[in-house]
Amino acid sequence: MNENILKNFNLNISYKRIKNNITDIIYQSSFYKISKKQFYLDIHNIAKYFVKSSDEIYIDSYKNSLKEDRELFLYDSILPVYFMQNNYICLNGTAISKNNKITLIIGYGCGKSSIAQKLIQKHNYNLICDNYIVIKDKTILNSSNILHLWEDVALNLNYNLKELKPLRKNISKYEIVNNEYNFSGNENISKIYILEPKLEMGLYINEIQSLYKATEVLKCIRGINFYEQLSLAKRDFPIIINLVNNCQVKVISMIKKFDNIKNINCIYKIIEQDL
Amino acid sequence: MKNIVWLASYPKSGNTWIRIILSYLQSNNNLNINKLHSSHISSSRDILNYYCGYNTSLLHNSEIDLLRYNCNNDFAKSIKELIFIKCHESYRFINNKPILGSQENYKSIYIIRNPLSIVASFANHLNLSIDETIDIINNNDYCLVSKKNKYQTQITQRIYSWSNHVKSWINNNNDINIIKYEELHNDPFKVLKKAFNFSNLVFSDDDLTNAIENASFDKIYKQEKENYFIEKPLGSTSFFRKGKSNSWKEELNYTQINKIININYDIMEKFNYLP
Repeated sequence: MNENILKNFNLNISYKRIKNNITDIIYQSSFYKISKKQFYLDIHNIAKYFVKSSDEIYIDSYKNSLKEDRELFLYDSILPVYFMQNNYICLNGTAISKNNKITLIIGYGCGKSSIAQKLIQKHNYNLICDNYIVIKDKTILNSSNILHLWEDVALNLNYNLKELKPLRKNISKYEIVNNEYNFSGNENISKIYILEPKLEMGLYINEIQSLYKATEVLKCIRGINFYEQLSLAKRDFPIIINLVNNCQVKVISMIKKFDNIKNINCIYKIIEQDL
Repeated sequence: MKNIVWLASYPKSGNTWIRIILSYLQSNNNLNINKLHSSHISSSRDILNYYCGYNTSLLHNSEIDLLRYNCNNDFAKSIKELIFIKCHESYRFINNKPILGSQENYKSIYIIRNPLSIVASFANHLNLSIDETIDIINNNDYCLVSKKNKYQTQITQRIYSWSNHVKSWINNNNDINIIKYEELHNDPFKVLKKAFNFSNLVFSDDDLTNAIENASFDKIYKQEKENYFIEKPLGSTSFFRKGKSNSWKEELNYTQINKIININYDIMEKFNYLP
């Protein structure tokens, strides 16, 4: 569990029975309810979670659920919503740093963590955070030395699976522990790579205008469905425009149907050329 | 009004061909096989993640099964226009509820094809031998997207054996139109007019005739050869292979034919597929 997140944001997390009495609901499904400042999510067999206020999260565990599973889903699925409701921008991706300059690799299902780990291994980058990136102004607010990789990529990067801890029992995604990096919070974001799956054949690398850049970054918001339901794009768009105007942004599109490892290696080579 | 129509079939039974015709009918543009109108699939992880509100790639299959009834009901509520959705899954129940949601929400078109014809096509698709593929067709535990070592954009789909797949659909659905691939091959206009009227799709006879003409096997085969087909799996030489209905007579030997009949006799007899 990422203890830094709890410390940095003064979050109180407690276990109790949840009454699920959210008012002013903006959207609800069979599994969750969301209002401007509150969020309820039922992850069956794991726990029910209630983001009650700006510093309180309640967890109501299902019988026989494991503590590490409850924490995994808290970190993975609940905290990003908490951040977006509390005026932070939370992007889906990995942040790495070298020479006091931060590079973000963002997108969905295109090998961000894998590419970041390769840069860490081969070019001495430092991991700031993986999974999602909490941004305020021009810098990042969360940090962790743990990165998550699926089995196929972990093997491709020559890790021994027997030495790795899986995120959950019988799930082939593993924790990769990197060196601790003393992230000061004073480094600025200098590069953003947006990895975009496409259905058409081809490889595109675009240097693009501010508005389009910002739109592409917005597409990588963590928990995009909640973001849309809360209509937060209006709030955040000026901040993102400011962010992309102050750093280099590249969109790399790759047909998603190609072999996963080949995709990752191809994108990695493109990013490596920029170094 | 039921806005969802499941286009259901065992793999390699003509599902894509019908979707191509539908795509031409609904868009009335030049056909691009990589931009099919009806490109949704019942096993989409994006849809599951959206309505559940969290990352389901960290769940086990049994946990995902528990979510699907409610998830598909929520999805159905959001659909305001007629939509055709591809489905290769068997029709299953968890806790006495169909995983595809309440039957109030959808109709089904089930495409059935002689398993003797499916074998060679499926073997080409999977890049396996005929005998290995026969074992799959006869295997009641067979699943699509079963590999857990990487991120999958679809969830695992229980297929059952060919005959149990057929039985699961035709025995459990009140609102279903069954298409025999062989009849579709011989008289596509008559078969599809009945199926699309059943679905409440609005179209003219001329439009349907044009769509069938433009989605002829020769034309789509040529398109795949000139470009690429996004749904062709890696390792397979082509997605569109022969487009014939009785090529099994040249492709299977006596032992192989008997192996299929032994397991699937009752349904083959019901649909006049016994040689």
